[in-house]
Amino acid sequence: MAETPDPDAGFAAAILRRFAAIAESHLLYSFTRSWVVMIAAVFAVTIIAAALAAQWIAPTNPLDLASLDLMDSRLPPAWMEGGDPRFLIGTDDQGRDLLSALLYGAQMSIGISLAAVGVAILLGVTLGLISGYFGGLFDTLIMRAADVQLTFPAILTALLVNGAARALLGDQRLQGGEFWVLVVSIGLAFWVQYARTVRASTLQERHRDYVQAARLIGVPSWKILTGHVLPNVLGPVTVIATINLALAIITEATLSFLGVGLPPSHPSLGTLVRVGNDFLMSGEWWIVFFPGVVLAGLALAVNILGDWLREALNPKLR
Amino acid sequence: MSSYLVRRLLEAILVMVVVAIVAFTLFRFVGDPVNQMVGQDIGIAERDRLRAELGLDDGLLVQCGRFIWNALHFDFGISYKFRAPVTDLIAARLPATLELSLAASIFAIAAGIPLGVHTGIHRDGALSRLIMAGSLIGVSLPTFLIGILLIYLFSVTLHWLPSYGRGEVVSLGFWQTGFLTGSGLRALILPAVTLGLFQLTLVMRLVRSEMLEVLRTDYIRFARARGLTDRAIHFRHALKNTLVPVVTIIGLQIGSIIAFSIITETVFQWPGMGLLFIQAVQNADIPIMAAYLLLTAVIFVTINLIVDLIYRAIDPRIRMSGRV
Amino acid sequence: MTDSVLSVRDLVIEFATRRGPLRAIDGISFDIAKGEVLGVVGESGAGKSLTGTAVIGLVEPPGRIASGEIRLAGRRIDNLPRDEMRKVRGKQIGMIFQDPLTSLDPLMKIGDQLIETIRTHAAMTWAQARDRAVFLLEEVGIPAAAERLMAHPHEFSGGMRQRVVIALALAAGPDVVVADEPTTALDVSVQAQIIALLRRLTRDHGMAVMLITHDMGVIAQIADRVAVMYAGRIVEIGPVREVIGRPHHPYTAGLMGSIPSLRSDHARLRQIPGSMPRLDAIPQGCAFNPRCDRVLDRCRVERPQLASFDRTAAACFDPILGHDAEVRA
Repeated sequence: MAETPDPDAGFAAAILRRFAAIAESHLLYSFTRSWVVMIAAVFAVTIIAAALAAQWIAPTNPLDLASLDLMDSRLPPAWMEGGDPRFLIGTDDQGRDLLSALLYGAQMSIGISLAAVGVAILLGVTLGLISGYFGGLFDTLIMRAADVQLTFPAILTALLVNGAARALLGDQRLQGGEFWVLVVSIGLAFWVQYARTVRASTLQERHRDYVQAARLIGVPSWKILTGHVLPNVLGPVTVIATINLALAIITEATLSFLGVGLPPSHPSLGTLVRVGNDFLMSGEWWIVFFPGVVLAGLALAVNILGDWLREALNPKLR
Repeated sequence: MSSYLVRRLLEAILVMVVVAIVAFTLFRFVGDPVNQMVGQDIGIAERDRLRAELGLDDGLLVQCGRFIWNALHFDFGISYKFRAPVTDLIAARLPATLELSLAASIFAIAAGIPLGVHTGIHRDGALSRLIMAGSLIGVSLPTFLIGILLIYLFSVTLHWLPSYGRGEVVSLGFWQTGFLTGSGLRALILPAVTLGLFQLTLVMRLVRSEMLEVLRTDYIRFARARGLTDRAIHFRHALKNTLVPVVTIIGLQIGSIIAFSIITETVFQWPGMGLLFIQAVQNADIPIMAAYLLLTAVIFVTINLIVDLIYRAIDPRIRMSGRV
Repeated sequence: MTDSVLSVRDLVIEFATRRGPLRAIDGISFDIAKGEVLGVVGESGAGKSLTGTAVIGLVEPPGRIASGEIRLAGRRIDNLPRDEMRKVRGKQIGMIFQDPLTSLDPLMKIGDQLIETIRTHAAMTWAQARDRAVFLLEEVGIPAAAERLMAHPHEFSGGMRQRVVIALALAAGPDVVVADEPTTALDVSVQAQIIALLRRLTRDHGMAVMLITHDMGVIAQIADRVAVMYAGRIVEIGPVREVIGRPHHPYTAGLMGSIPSLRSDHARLRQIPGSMPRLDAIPQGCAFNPRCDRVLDRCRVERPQLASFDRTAAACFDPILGHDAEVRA
């Protein structure tokens, strides 16, 4: 009983301790050692920052339909013959400035992906904690559900949830709700991994002396869970979240590409590629090229960061 | 052995029942079947008649039972959009998807295992590093981008291969195959590579990490200490020992190949089930979605069972203990 | 020694690390004659297994043989090309590993593993190799050998598996066998059988055996000579009776003190205060000096070399001589 629980050991304090430990580990060391990781980090941060600042740095507002001029449609990048200096990387079929559309689109994609990963974490961590800590019927139900869902690829789950939402809401009510339909369908597709990881660590922690001691002296369950169990799963959850972010970005783009994501008037990386794909045959490569590169680069960079995090933190993931 | 099989079979049936209930819930509650089938101008009385005709007034259990019973007889109802039996629609498109999935799986396995073995044995070699870097890019590229890239390269720029469709097909009774014509085979290449690439990288990375693991084991060290040749060690001892997890993953990946064919079929306008399904999602055509869900579940569960049987054939220890 | 089959001279093995090379084996020399069993003892981490690994040519990066030489029947083998060395392994030097449960390929029938090994080194037909496999299994005492060829490793008990491992190590008739803790993973009752088997095989085949163990009981039962290793060096080497009966190095004496009695086969070496230094923190002078109760000022600055006392040699500035050696053994 050396480790009696500190009554002040709240969630915040625990997280601070956790991150102090991470900083002391060779995380920083390995970061500065690998130039690939550095480039990936710089790329990801640049894209994300530019996307978040789209409202301020984009030359035009692609959502403002009144400003569009069909005469400007399908112009090549500025440096090519027939290019227009107003449109640095060309325009799409609506005459939208591709750079602006790209910035707004990236913002939309990143926003959806972050929100979806948030939904997945919230759902997965909560269910994992309940499953591991209380066991019994909860555990059986949740883990069976996880097993069944794992049988299906995430993209299929997302498509089914998406299709069900469309049928439930109908086309009119869906207007404007596409963002949340995407968030929920992607989030529901990715919760299983968090639930399993959190459940495994919770099972381990539950039998530790200090948790038993805390239970004996009557510390409420939620306090034990947030103060002691949760901080211990932060490492693995961070890694899964990073890798999932890349997956979520790809999934959002895929859904939008398949035509079940955002409507074409709302640019996201996927819708831009979808639109651009139609013009690839006629040689207007830039409409698909730039969104494609940003999408692939972003997914690759986040993946590299996730790989590096996994190795540096070395949690037992699988 | 047989009791284990029975248990696995029961588990599989349980999964199928759960999926069937989900499919039924979709079918019955998501969207109103009657509204979907008739126009706005049909009167209430007419609707009620149709409702009774479809059995929508019966008890839920009865309806669910009827749904499962019908599904067991390959009756999934009528598509809202196409006004045709779902079974006919799927049957017409199943061969295209299965042929594409088969070609993609063969590509993924035939290329993934050798690459994985190579990178596992020569883990620090220049070629290995190149392959590994390439595989990370392969994992990060969304399938549809790979497809678009390949189309741009091989169809638009080089004009070597067709960019959409199945080419000519030959009818073998109920099965339309593209394997027997030159244009069918040419049309297969790009979609199969697109679909298989992600699985290829997965297989490769898995074989590599399993190889690395196995090469560290005592029995490999002992094999080296007995002076066995590298070839015998790598292929007779190491590779065989990596196969249990590899077969598992490959089996599971065949399932996800079928799911990912949705994307590939969209990019290449490949007339398969995936294309049908994505149209169904766009149109909220629930009977097709429910049928697709059931069908893929059957395929996944069957593959899981087969995978189980295969690794019993590979690993004699499992035959003894019943579990890995 | 002219009749030595295996001869190791000034062997140094280093590991490349981020902070420069670490010396794991620091200039050790020993010989093993035909038909002789040399026991190598020491705590884990002393470098016993690594020495065995070097003899059979399987030191892997980041480790490497930095200097010294290893000779087999007069022929230098530490610098052989990869494929030449492979032919030496199994054919001229056999190795027995510690854990019979993990030493055999779980997916291959033991008959196939034997036949594969035999045919790698000898131009035999499959049928000839199969006959030899049966003969080998019989020789290591496996009943119904011909039928057992078809069995997989998991169908054998631990002791039987170690017999199979020994049969595999002897498959191509090596002159030298490196046995790395061959009995440690086994039940006590089985240990005695395996030791008896090793002793018989050594006698019958006239093999030279390098027996690595941390179990002085095993050494006393089977070895002719013994080398005591500490922190990558040999601190004492000589005939078993001498070393056990009258140890000269305080570390050896400590090891002997930790044997409850030679009747017990399960002696563990844990009675010397402190623990062996890590490779990156080996003290100046004699590596044993922080744990030694006879330590002199000189021991802290200067490293003692092996020096002869009667028939043994010890590396110590203040060796235990004559009646100092009151050891219960």
